[in-house]
Amino acid sequence: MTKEEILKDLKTDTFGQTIFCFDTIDSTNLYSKTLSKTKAPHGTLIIAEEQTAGRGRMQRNWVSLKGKNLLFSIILYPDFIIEKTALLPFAGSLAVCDAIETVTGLSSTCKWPNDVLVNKKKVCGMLLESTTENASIEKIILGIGVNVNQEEFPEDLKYKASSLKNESGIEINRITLLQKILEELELRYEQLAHFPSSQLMNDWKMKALLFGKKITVLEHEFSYTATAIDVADDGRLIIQTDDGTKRSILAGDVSLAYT
Amino acid sequence: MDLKYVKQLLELVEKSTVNEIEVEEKGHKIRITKAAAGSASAPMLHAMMPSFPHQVMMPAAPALPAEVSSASEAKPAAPIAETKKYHEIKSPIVGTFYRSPSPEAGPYVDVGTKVKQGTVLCIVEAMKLMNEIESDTAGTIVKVCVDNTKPVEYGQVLFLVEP
Repeated sequence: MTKEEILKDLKTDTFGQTIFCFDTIDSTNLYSKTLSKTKAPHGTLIIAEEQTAGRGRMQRNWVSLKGKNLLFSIILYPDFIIEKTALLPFAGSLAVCDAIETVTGLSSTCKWPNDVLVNKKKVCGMLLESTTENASIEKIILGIGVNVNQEEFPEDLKYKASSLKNESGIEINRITLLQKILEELELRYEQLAHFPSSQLMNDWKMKALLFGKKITVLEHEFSYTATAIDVADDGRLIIQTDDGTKRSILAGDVSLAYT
Repeated sequence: MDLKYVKQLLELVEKSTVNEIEVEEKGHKIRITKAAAGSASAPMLHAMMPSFPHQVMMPAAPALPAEVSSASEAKPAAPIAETKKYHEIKSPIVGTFYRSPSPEAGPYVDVGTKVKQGTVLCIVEAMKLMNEIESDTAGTIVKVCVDNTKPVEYGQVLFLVEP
């Protein structure tokens, strides 16, 4: 994948207009952290065919076969309030979800707050990182990994993860998909910046997988089952625990309970 | 809120080493704090209007194992006069406080760690947005004010730094 291929027919104003392309890199997020604002303006894309230290939340490994998938980071300098910044994971997952549907025709869903699933299997994960100084968020790195044409998955992930090729049965053009994701991301970013948060959140809820379903919540050291009810406009997941009490959660791992 | 339940909470706080707890139920929120941290004085009760209408309820007492188990880790807060001379590092967002980049890794900083401006002190996570909180001053960490993996509010003091 080259810069020229990505830029050709890319219909965005800023997202992906500055590109750093790598064959192999430790992690696109790590590299993004080293770039200054002058070198990497708002919307800069860092993309690699392979990562040697790909990570997810809590430094979990993100394994991906070389040249098969999309592994990239976008650098953002949000100029809106910090409460909206916390909703970027929703903007990201919704953008990927819409792009997948347009390009592959596969129906996809969002799992709180930022995973994208096809047939209840994870095809896209995200890691958002930011640095905060003087109580304001300067720079956000939105790391995205999409399983596109990878066919083999490790035994322990087989029933939880998949790729767009495995689910659709056809080889997907990665550049077309990337361009569509960048376009959708730019739109969702603008929606978040210029409209009330409820607009983005209402759109996201239309794609939400968990509502009304039994889920397992893993919060730090303990886990419990609950029913997902709603997502508040500030992004919190509202759940009802088995004893009937309602509460909202801000962080933690949530998965469908198979009971 | 049931008065008996409030009484139970007061007793719970009094007997434990926890200095402050906050409980929200059916639109009523109470915060119980000990008058002087670390002393044996009686806990104080503050009734508040809910600040987050969506955060409807915390689990009832039996569902609080995490809170109780953390009691032994909680350190008495420094007296107010003492905190004044230290620089406070506050949380810019509501989220979950992590002292290390992963559960296996060691903490970014500890009491006694010398930090520079820009040194990463911790992560505050909100909806999988991992915010690395940097020190905005040079100095030495004198206190870590929050236990690992605990929720933090906007503006809550996370660290005290001696310039």
